[in-house]
Amino acid sequence: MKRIFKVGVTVTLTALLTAPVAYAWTADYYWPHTRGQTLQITYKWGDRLDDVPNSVWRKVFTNGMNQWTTKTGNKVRFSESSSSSNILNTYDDDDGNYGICYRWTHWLTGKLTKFEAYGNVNTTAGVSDTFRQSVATHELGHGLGLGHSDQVAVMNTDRDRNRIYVPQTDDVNGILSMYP
Amino acid sequence: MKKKWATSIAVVALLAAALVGYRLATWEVATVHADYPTITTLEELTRQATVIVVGTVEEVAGTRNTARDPLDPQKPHPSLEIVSVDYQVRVEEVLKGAAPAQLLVTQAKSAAPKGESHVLFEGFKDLAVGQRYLLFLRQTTDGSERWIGIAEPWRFALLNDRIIVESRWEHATSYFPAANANEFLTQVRSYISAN
Repeated sequence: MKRIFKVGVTVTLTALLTAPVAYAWTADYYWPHTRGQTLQITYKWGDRLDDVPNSVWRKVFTNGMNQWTTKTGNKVRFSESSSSSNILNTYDDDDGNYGICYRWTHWLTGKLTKFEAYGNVNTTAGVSDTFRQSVATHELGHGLGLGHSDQVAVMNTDRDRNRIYVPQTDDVNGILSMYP
Repeated sequence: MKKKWATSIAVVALLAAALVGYRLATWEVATVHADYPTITTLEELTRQATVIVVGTVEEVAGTRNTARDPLDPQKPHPSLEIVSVDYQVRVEEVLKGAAPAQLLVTQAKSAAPKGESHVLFEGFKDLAVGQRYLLFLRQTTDGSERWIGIAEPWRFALLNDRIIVESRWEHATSYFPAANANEFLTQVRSYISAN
């Protein structure tokens, strides 16, 4: 009996001590990934961006993708592909959202299979490009599998979007833990 | 004859099994996430809202696809649908701004790329019919005489003497814990008079 108690205490303590540090980032879902490899994500421009080559949303999505690559030390990389199922686009709706990300996961494995990220031209009319980049980077974070954070993070909905527009330490920690 | 029937049934069963197998192998589950404005103090919520009312939700007035084409906002978006739900709210008290006796309050409910299944926005919660709320609103920009939440959180349920925040924002309760309704409303009124 004593032995069972000792084993129980040891297992509990070990589990507590080795549990992941309470990062604020949350991982909703993961892309299939091989440890040590760069996560390669393809994308294509949506039908409300492909005919607007110089649009601000195309620019901020591009900046956002580059920032995720840079800040994570090339742990994730985006490349354009006309056959990609991942789509970057815009919409117009006074719906109270700055941007949205629709994601699909395989029902059994829970792995991400594709995503569509949209910037809202309506609710972001009149904001700075920095603000829009913050939104684009946030939606791309969802596309990578991140959920919301309550820390200083681009994945925090309660952030100053003119100041926090690139992935922060908390966001990067999330990616590095999800895709080691 | 019997053998022919057996063969046919076996072929059909195999095809059905293959179809089910294929569906299971490729079956996907969707979720939809958003980036939206948030406010962390009652003072700021009061300042930013153009209309603050206490009212009761009478009914769900309907749903609409509100995603417009950025190239021509008169048209629906060609590849995305957003369903917004409208609620008829009977206004009991206007604390700030001007509001009619009946308000049409709207909120985005679900989204889907064309041809895909609609999925509720993460954290979405319907307004409850028959429930009294304190609402922090602004008018929508589409000229449709609808009202929308100023930011998250924008609605507080009045339950007897308590006021309880309702929000899709997962951290809203940290900033707006349940409180005494009268004290909360008094605080709102004092912020309004201070501005």
